[in-house]
Amino acid sequence: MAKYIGKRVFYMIITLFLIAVLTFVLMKILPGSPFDTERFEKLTPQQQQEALAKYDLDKPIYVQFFKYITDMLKGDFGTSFYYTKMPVTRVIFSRIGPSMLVGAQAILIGLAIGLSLGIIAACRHNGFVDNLTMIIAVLGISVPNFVAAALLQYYIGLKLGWLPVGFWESWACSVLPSLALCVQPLATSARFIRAETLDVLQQDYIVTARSKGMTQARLLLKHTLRNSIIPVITIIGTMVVNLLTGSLAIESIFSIPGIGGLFTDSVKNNDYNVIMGLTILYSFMYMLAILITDIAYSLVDPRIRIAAGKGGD
Amino acid sequence: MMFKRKEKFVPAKPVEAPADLPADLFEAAEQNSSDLEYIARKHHSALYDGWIRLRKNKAAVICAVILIVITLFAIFAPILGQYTYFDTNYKAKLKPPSIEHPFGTDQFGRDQWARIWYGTRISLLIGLVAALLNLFIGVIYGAVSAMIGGRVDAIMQRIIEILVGVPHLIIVILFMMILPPGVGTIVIAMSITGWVNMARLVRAQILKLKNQEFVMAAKLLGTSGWKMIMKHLVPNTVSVIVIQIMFAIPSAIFTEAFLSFIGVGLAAPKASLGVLINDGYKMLRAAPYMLIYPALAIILIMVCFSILGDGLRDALDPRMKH
Amino acid sequence: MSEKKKLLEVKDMYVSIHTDSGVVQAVRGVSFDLYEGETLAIVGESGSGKSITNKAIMGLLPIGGRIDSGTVLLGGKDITHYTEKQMRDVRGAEISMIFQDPLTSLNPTMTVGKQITEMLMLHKPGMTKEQRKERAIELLGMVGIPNPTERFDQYPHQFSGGMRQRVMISIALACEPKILIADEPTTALDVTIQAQILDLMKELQKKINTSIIIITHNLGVVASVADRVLVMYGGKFAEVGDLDEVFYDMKHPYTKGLMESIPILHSEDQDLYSIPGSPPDLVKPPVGCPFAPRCNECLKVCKLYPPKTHSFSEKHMATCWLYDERVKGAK
Repeated sequence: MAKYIGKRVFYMIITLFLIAVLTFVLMKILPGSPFDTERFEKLTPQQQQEALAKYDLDKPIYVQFFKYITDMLKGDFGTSFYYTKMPVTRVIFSRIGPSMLVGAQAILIGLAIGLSLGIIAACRHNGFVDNLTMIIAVLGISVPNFVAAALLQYYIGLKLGWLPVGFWESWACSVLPSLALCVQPLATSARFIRAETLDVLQQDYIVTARSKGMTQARLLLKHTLRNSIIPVITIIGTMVVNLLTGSLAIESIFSIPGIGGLFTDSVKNNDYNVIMGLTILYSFMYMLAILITDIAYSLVDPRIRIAAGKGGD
Repeated sequence: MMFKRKEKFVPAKPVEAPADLPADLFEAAEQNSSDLEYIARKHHSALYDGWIRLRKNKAAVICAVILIVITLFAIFAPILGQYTYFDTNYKAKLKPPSIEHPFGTDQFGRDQWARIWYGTRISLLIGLVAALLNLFIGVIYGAVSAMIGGRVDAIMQRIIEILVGVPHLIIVILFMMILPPGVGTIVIAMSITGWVNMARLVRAQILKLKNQEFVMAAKLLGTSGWKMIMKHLVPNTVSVIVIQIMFAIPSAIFTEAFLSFIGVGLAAPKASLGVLINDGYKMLRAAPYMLIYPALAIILIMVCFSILGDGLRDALDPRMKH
Repeated sequence: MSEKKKLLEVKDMYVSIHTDSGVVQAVRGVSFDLYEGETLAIVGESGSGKSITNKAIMGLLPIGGRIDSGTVLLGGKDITHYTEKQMRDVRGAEISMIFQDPLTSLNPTMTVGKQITEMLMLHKPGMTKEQRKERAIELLGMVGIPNPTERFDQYPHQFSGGMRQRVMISIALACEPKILIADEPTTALDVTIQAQILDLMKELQKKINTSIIIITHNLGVVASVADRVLVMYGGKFAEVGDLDEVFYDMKHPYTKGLMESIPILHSEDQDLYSIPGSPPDLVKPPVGCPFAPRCNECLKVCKLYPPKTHSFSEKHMATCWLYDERVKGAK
């Protein structure tokens, strides 16, 4: 187990390093650096040299890269151009709260509704709930979340006026974005648990359990769901990842001061340092979500847990 | 598996033999030995079986038809219509849907009907080209990795393991920022990490087949490598590829729409469904139809691809889930 | 025979399974009895309807499966019309089952101990938790699992195939049922383990006086455990009788074919006989005898009309046209 985690962490570090290289290269290529301006051209060579030296730009490229990486490890991503000279880290940290709130709500609502629907659908295979669930699942997976968000904002926020949109003041403002974001986890989990439950229902051990003469409720809880819910853990990582990217559009639609909206705004404003910082952060969270998912799954499933406990370290 | 409960089935009770059977019936019957090798149910190739199963899936067939109709409209509507997607007419701006302009006009007086079909064309084109590019890279990568095996395979797999850690959308956005905007850019940006899934699936499928008995048998019987690839590996890998394409196209359409929506995709007057949704979103209060029609178009396309993809997966590979 | 009590009577059972590709008429008019303390072997190829017959008795048909007609009398009561609630008291307590593949028949996420005590909890409401655990450990010991106390808290995947089948047996016999249905209990196991499991079943049968229905296609298994044999083919019964009658005086050409296909050690004849052809498609079952197309003694009538059942002794019967009095040189 420890060996496996070690290997995964090793790959994570390599991937992060490559992404850091990529962001560094992109920063060098991107148009509109502070030293391409006419003002810089007008400076004397002496002044130009001083300005470059100030940012170590006169040093060879590998020295610059080394500095970039060490700064990054120290948590220093430079300062934001747009949020006048605020350190990128501070800009990002001030924005994490709302993103976490909306994301957590979306995942909880999505899982609660999705899992219930999917389980009922599997138990009443081909019944009304099953058909409804399949329709919801197909729609939920197919409708782009920013389209859902825009439509929700228009119909519920503007036309019906039930919930506030366009600003971020109270908890009520987080409801619509959470709903828009929960569509995908809801659909994914409903579909997944339905398929998983239908599969478990066909397993031999379900026939064994039935041959013991137990109630349907017991069969469902102790034998079916126990086996079909464990694998749900495997998709939570992907859900978190989708949520991270989904938040990019949703947060700017609902004017949420979160990191997703920050990313989109920074892209529009060419605020490179913030983009680089967020890219590293997103990549890190992305890989962390997948890693934690894998570990959690191996801890919950006795087949993997014990096999790993025996042969692992 | 779709199974509809039918009315109670009444089995045919066996026909009782009549009492006065002619005596010659009790003579030994001639046994036709070729009858014995008759196999009760006909056996078809996996693809043919899949096609038969797919045809039975009404929802998937309907979706395929809708997609064909949409594609035809996307190709011909912009050519045949009286308006173009870029001609502005400030006398007729923000007109709600009418007979003249079935989907209304935008703030520059451009006909939304023409723009939406043109946008659909671009979106479908991007989806298709991106999926094919992913297919091309992915299949070659996966096949090379699986066929060569050994150290090459190990290294190629490590590269994949590094790439799967990269958040796709974020990297695409970064590339969109440095490359000049345009359809080609979007396709290239999406292909940077998009092929990884295809490569993994193809590799897994080929490895599975390589170790299967019929391929080993073919090898033992001296079938040449090339013949084996064409006869056994290709047909059996095609279903995996077809299914993956069916999911890659809508995914690419979504990514493009997303990029255009957040403002790093195509630029006006070019239109894709994402651009149109973005425009519509900006005009939401004044002209909600500008959002609703392109939104419906993309939803319809995504839903159809999704149902068709599921149908194909069920039909071609009943064992694959999710 | 008459002094032995009839436990189970299956009369003229028809079972169909509704699938995507049509209605499979899996069982077409099967009747048999099971007496107290005996072992009945049901023999046939895959698709002969032997497994489905027994799943129908338990009310555990797969999705789309149903009993179309016929009765199953358990202690004189027809259980085909039992409600789900009534069936719950039959399953496990009166009839229990073990299955072919011990690797997949145990719940992978529940400890073995829990799976045994669950059976006790369901049918022995008087027992306390401690008593159940004690009994479960006793059962594990009884089926020959070493260190039962430690094994109690382990998961199925920590057991070998043979050990898992022992666990299955301990679950099935936990409530000392009247009937044990063993569906190919040794097919998935190594040959050496097979014999151990069969011995264990025989030993436990004596201990708790259970009747066993053993479903198998392995005639070696039949010979070592069965008192009586029922041969099924194409969803119908071909021949039934005492072990000796069926093994040494077989009447049905299908039974003969089966016997000839047993490999005999030290035999001069190196060629292994196999019955040519394959079993019938039960979506469109043949009108006549289902075995007719593969039968080397086939008559013209066999393909046209279903044969009648002929008795050769009190217990020995076969369904075959060859024994009709109109056949020249009828046996």
